[in-house]
Amino acid sequence: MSKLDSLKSIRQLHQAYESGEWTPTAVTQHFLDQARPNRLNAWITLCEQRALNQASLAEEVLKLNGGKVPRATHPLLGVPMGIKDNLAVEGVRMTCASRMLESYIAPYSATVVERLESAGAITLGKLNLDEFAMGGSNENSAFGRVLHPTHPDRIPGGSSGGSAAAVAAGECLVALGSDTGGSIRLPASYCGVFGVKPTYGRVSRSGLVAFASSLDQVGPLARSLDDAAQVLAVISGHDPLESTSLGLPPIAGMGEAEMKGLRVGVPQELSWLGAAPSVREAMESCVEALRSAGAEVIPVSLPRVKHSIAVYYVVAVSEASSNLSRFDGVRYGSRSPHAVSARSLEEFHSVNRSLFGAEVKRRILLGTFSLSSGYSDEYFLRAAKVRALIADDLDSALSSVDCILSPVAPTPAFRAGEKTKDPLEMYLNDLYTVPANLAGIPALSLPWSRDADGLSIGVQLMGRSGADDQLLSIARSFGRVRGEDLV
Amino acid sequence: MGASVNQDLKSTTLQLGTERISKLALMSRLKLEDHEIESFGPQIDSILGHVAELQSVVVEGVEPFLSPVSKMAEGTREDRPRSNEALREGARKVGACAPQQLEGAFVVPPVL
Repeated sequence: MSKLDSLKSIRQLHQAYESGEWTPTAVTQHFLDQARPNRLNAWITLCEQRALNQASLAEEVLKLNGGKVPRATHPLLGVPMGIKDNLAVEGVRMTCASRMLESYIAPYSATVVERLESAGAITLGKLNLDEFAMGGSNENSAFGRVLHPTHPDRIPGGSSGGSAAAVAAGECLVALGSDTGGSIRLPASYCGVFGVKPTYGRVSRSGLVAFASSLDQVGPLARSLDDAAQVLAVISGHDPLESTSLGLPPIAGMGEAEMKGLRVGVPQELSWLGAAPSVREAMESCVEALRSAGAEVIPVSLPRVKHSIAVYYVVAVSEASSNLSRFDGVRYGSRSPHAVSARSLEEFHSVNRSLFGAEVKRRILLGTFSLSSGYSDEYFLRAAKVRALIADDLDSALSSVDCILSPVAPTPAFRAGEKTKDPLEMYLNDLYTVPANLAGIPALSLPWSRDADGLSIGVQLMGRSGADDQLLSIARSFGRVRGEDLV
Repeated sequence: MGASVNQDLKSTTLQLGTERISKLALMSRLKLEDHEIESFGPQIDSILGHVAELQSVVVEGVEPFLSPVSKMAEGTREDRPRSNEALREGARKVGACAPQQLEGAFVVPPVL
């Protein structure tokens, strides 16, 4: 099974199934063997028996189809995947990396999980994250931090750190994450994998535990762009269970995009001049390569985008403060042992909610402040208005270019503990990723280079709202520039 | 929150102080330890100091952007009743998520 260590794509996996070289059960066993020791602390829960049952079913499907993968009905047959632990899988514990939901068993599956499993994918287990997806380093988990796959003293990024680390380390082939302000793209960049945040509304949020409902989107992390596109094709499309689900067809996947004549916008206000030298070098080499391949690199102006972090940390925390009010020790998950002696319902709720970790408490407090009487107009409402201006800037720029190029993060993966004492410093790390969430446009992280220490550096592409297919095609052409066909 | 909002907003060094953090905790239904109140104060002040830059942006006449999908994307779905069996099953499943339940009801300790 040693060849499985080098498995890189769904395409390769399916070829091996069809040639009879591997079976879904053997592949599932291999990935469970990789995941079980939990070397990176990427997993919170493994569902081994469920996965093996799904593998048996995949073998039946293969047999019934004469040993061929029925791509029309089961495009992800026998694909071992991990699910971020803020997405519901029926009958499996869903913790959101919080003591608050330590014992919560999901009563139904998220739409995205249902769609993936119907397409034949195998759920290996639930992946670690920052508590309730709040964080950029995966240091806020009640289940301990996730280690970077190649540099264990560093962070894997967050909040989908478990997803990125597990994919990079070969503990699953693909994973789902969620992205509210960069939570797919940052860890993808730090860990050297592909990560896509689709257009808001293209992928159902039903069964995703809400953090900030107007920003949250579910998306894939994968070792190849083609795998990410295949997962997106399955999970996207209208969902009647979700009121913000767009009536657009599923994302078709990658097509061809010519680099010659491609118009790539470089925003002056998201300049990489302030980024780490290795990130600057990566961006400069990227621009040079694009120009050599015939792309037009065009400066674009996004004058209000500089306010993105300020807007985000009003809007996101306000929505979080509202969304997380449901966790009161009555209806879901855990109850504090001290709650039994509460003298009022107010005290009962407060004692139970002390199960939240520090970052979640901090954001709830900040959100409560932003929404409180006398302050909401000047904080929440003002932020929502500046958000409109930021979205206008991006829309306007994207009407004259095919995509916008920027770094994903100002530095490669930093050392654990380096930013935990100063939340604002941690928040400023989301500078490049937050604007796409505010505007609801698609964005992805593409591994581009490595620094002298071998740390991965990704580049970010942002695209027009609803043009997810086009963005994937453009990303593919970026790969070609580097001499790789990402299919 | 009581204090003069305009006065607060003119200052980029808005300081909430332990009293206001305690009040926010009460409003948020969060029981905080003393050390949390101590540490959250300066951290939240620092974040609000950064957020204060929004005061300089001209927003007159701008409609707030509350969601990328401004109206319910597909309208409302048909309100079709489900079978009694599905409802019973749903109630059982929802009840099973609670820390304590009895015959389909959420149980809390006596607080009155």
